[in-house]
Amino acid sequence: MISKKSLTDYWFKIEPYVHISIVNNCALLYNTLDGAFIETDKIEVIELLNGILQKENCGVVLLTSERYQQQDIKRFINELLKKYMGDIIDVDLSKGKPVQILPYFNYSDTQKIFKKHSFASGKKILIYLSEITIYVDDSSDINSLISYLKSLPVSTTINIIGYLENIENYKILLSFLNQLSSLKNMIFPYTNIISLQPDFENDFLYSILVRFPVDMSQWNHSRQMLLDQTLPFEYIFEVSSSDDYQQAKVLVEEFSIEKYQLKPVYTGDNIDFFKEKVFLSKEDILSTSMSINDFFTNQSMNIYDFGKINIMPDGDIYANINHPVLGNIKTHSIYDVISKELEEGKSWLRVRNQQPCDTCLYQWHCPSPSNYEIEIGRPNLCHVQP
Amino acid sequence: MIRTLIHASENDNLYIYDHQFRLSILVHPEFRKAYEGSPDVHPYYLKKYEYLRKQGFFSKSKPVNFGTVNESMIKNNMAEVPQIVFETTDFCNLNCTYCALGDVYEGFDVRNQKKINTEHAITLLKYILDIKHKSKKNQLYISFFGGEPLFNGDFIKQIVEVANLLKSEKEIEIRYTMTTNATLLNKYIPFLVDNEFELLISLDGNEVNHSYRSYRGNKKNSFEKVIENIDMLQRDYPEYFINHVNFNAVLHNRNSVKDIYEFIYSRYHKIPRIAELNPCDVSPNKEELFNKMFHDKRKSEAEYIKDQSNHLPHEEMLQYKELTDFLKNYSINYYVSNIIDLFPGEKKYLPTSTCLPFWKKLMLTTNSKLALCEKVSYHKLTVGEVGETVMIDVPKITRQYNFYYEHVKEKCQQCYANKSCDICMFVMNNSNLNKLDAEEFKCEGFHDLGTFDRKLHRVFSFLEKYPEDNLSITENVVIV
Repeated sequence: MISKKSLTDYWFKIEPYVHISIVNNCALLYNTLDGAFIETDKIEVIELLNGILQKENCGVVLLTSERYQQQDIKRFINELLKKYMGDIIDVDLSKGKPVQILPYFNYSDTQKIFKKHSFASGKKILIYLSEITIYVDDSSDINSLISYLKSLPVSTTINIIGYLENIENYKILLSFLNQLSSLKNMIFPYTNIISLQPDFENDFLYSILVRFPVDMSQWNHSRQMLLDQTLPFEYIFEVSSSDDYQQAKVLVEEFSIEKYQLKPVYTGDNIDFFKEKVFLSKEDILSTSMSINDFFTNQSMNIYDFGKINIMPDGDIYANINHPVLGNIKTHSIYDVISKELEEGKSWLRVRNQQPCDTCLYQWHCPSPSNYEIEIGRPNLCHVQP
Repeated sequence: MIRTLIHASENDNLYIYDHQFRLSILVHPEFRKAYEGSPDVHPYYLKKYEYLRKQGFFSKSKPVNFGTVNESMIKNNMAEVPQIVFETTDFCNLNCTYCALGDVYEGFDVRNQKKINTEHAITLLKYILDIKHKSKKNQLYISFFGGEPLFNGDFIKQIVEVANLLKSEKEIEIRYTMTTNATLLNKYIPFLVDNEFELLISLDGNEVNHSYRSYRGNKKNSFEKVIENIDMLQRDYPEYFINHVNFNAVLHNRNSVKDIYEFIYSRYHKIPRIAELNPCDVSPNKEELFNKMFHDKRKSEAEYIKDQSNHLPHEEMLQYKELTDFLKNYSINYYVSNIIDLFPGEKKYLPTSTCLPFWKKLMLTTNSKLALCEKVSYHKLTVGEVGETVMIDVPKITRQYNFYYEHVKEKCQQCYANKSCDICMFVMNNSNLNKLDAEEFKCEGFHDLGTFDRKLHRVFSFLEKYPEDNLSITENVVIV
């Protein structure tokens, strides 16, 4: 950078901690160390950036003295230097072309490559299973369920959701779960909480669902029950409007609740609430701190679904209940289920590669598509026009 | 203490390597001056150096968070074990001078000319098939090792018969593999072909090259018989030969990388695997012989590369393999092959690259002991035994592993290769394993700053020569 003789040629490079997006002749460079960014639509600059991404250039391209004299290039490089996002090095300072190992971003089949490497034949696939959610009701076959749970990797987190007391032999299931060393999360509405202690207390915790309006008498009763026992608990407030949001805040303050989540719920007629509270603007996107690993994650897997499976009361297994069934606990081993999801499933590897996101400069800055996109029927929940 | 370092390539280009971020960054020579505290440094690079320092570069690297093994990890592995190895017999009809179980080495398990117990082998096979998940997509490799496995060919036939019956119940795909010296191959060719055995044949090159591989009885070179058998296999089953036969050669003072390639490639159109002699556990009174026989692969390969007509594929070059290892384990693109490490939470590493029990394989010895693999001496570690039933003491194995990890991790903490090395604790020099927490303990794979700097020099010099390799390796080389 320091030699500014007019006839000097340079090696041009972008730092490997910078994420590069190039879409429709626009480029966004994002510094993952401090969040600084550069946006440009200058053709010369885009060409230069495309050059470093060519296989044969391995992250470094020759910048001739003539090219360096172009105003757009010069201005861009000055900004790059100022933000520590790249550099130019006099070619005479070394004996040959250098290289820069850039993160594997910005290639058309990025996810295919992740899939090929991480799930190659011969690699263990059960290590990817982290969490299983079991929906129960009076039709659940507890014996088959227990038999299936025995075949799972030992440390898998287990969520149980539903009205347990409606199931005749639910205590057999709880006894079995009590013997496992994995974490067991019992998800109950505040109106129907089952007391687990003193019989079942080995690594259990409660998630309490709260939907508005709240029946204060039942709320007080359930709260007292939770406070009278020692298992950890967390509230999940399902909010579908600004009013729900305010009520949740009041409850949190009034009862000094420390552990809680606010979960927006789409009802079919509250899109304005989502537009106001959930949809992202360009400013929201760019002000979110992103690491290199976050970009890798967004390009390779669905952060909400990856590693998780759901078992319905009839034994059917889904990676995401909005997507096709993967099998049934009575006919498919866990190995079958996971290999099917990795090979042909639509959930674990659902990334933001559909229109209009695939032509958006901020494509990989956004989190994975969630269930809200499916429920609302839109591929993107943002105010950005690609 | 591990720290960010700056290294150079043959072309004098300079690069930062940061262990914590797994990041390599090309830098301007002025940047190195700033790093070295030179007084006449350009102010911009002083600022850039400060900037990177503030972002966590050049500070003390956080110690690697070494984890421990727990029983559930081992149990999970058992249900997914991909390979069973049967030590078919511990007898070999050859007496190769450099054999790891021969006179040159010490500390290996005594050979009793014993054959494996077939009933115990079947018990183990049934046990493993029982705990494996039923799925057409699930695979199990059954491997036959020795001694010379074909010296107990009847056993191999029995196991294959039983396995072929059992696999249909479980819907698992079973594949057979065998390493052989090929002297007895002629007796079993149709059987091996019918069952699509993956064969790895030991062949050191031409007749002179192969002369350490002599018969135990008459001391004659086995070359003639070996070639006769391989030629027969190729002639009678050309398609099988193309798809299922590979070669493994040992490099020593009677051959070279060139000799091995010239012979095996010219005759059979195969790219051989080449291994150096194992430098661990050489008997003190055989060191002279060992040193005479030892042939450095890097040097031998470098000689061969000078020959423009060499058959060495680019992908087989040691430097290419070193680059591959670097890109897969030490570069930012490590995550492409390890997306599980992108999950939130602090990543825990296990010291060394010693396989966890049942992670890759499980071996049944002729003494009915369960060993980790064919490379680990059974007196160093066994993980169970087979009698009427399979007995695996998971708590004991867990304790054993954690005992060794606890003692080796202090050394690993100072090693630049501590996130991914190629050292197995159980194939370390015999005398070394007992000194894990002593001052004199030496790990053969330890990378101090200088060793790692030299590795980076080689890797980046090679990549500068072949820049396309970066994307080719990242995209195409799959590490299982």
